[in-house]
Amino acid sequence: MHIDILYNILILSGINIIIVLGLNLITGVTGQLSLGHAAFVSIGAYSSSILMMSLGVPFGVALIAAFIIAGLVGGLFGIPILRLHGDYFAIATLGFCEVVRVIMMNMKATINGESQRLSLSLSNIPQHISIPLVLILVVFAVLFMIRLEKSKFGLALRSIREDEIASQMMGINIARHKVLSFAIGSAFAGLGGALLASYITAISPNDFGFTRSIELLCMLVLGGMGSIVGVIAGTTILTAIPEVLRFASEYRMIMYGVVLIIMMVFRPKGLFGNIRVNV
Amino acid sequence: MADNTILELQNVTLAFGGLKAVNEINFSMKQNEILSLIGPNGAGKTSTFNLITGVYTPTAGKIIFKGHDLKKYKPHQITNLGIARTFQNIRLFKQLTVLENIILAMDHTRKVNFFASLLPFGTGKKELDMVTEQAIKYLEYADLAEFKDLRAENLPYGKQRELEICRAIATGADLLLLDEPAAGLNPSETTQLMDILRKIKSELKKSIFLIEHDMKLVMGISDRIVVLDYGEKIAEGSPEEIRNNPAVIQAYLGKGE
Repeated sequence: MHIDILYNILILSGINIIIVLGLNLITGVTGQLSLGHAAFVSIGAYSSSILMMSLGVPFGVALIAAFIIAGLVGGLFGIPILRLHGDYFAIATLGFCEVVRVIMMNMKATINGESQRLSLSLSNIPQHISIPLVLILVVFAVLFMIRLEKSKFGLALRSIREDEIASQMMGINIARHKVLSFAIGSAFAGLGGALLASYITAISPNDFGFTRSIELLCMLVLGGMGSIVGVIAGTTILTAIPEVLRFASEYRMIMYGVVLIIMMVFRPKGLFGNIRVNV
Repeated sequence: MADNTILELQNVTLAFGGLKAVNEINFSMKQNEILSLIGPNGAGKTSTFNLITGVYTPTAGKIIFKGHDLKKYKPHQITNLGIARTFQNIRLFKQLTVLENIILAMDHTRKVNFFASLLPFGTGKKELDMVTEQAIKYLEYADLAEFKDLRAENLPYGKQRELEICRAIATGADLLLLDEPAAGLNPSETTQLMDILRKIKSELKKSIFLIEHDMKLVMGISDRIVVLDYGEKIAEGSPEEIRNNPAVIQAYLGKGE
C-alpha cells in the first residue's frame, strides 16, 4: 500500500472518530436518533475556515471557536426540537441538516478582502494538520467520552435512553439533559469539521448534506451504538474501505453497502455494541 | 387533623375534550397511611396517578402535597418534593445494572458539579463512593444486593417488581404511588408483597397510595379505600365498609334484576 494512502486513512479516521464520538453521545448514549450530524460538521468547518481566512485568527483559536459555535448552535436548535420523540426528532434533524446546507449555499463571506459566495467551493484553507495533533485530539475526545458516560450526567443520559418517563419520575430534568447532550455532541462534530476543513483545504456546502449524516450514522451502527471501542473500529473500517479499494473505482461503494448488510444480518448490535437502542 | 394530611385532592377534574376521565374527585390521605384506589377498568385510576405526578395537569381543582399546590411543578420537580411512583407495566432502566437503577433514584441528592464528576478522583469520586454505599444499603434492605451488578432486564419478574419499589423508596420520597404492584405475581409472591408493603409502612414510615385489582391484597393491607367508577368517586371508607357498600357491589357486579 502506498504510504500516502495510509497517512490519509489515519488522519481521516482520527477526524471521523472525533465526529462520530459526538454522534454516539447523542444517539448511542442518550438514545436520540440524529440524521443531521453533518450540519454541525459543516458549521465547524466553515466557522473555523472563515475565522482564519477573513479575520486571520490563529488555527488553535479557530479550532476552539468551531467547537464552541457548533455546540451553541446545537444547544439552541435542541431546545425546541428535543421535545419531539423518536422518528419525529429524526426527521427534524434531517430538515435542519438541509436548512444549514441551503443557508451556506446562499451566504457570502469576505475572504482575503474580497466578497465570495460560499456556494462556490471555499479553497486554499490553511493546512495545519499533522498526525500528532489529530492523535492528541482523538485521545482527548475518547477520554472525555469515557469519563462522561460514567459521570452522574452520563448515567442520567443513559437512563433517558432506557426510559424517558421513568427517568423523569426519578427527578431527572430530561429536557435539560437532552439539550446538553445534543450541544456537547454537536461541539465534537464542529471540532472534527474544523480539522477536516484544514486537512482537505477545500470545502463546499454539498460535502455536508444528508448523505454525509447517514455515512456518519453507518460508522456508529457498524461499530455498535453506545460503545466507544465500537466507534473507533466502525469509523476506521468505513473510512478505510473507500481508500483501500480505490483500484476498484465505482465498485467500491458496493463493498461499503455489502459490509453494512452483512453486519446487520449477523451482528445487529454492531461489532462491539452490547446494547439495543430503540429510537 | 390538617397536620398529618400529606396529600389532598380538591374537586379535581381531568377532561379530554368532552370526556371526563376524572370528575370532581375529593379525598385526602394521611401520613403513614395505606390508601387503595380501586374501580373497574377505565374508571380513571391511572389518570389520577398521572395527575398527582404531574404528567397531566388538572382541568379544574387542586392537588395539594405537603402544602404545595402541584400545579406549579413539573414532573421531575414533583419527585423532588417527595412523591415517587411505580408503573403498571414495569419501567426499569432495563439495560442498566440493578445498582445503577438505584443510584439514578438518588440523582437529585447528588450535588457534584459537571466537571468534578468527570474526574476519576476528588469530590466526584468521593460522592460516587458515598452514593454507591447508600444504594447498596437500599438493596440490602430489599434483599436484592446479590443482584447488584446484573442488568435489570435479567432479573426474574417478581424481583423486577421489587426493584421498582426499591427504586421508588431510594428517591427518598415520603409518598409512594404503586400502580398495580401485584400484577403478574403468583399468590405466594403476592403474599410476600403484602409483607413488604407492611414493612415499608411500619419501618420506613412511608405513605403508600396504591392501585390494585387483587382484592385479597387490597382488603388485607389498606387502611382506607377509595372507589372510582366512570371517573367519579362512588365510595370511600375502611375495607369493611367498602366490602358492604351497595354502590361498589353494583359497580363491580352490575345491578341485580
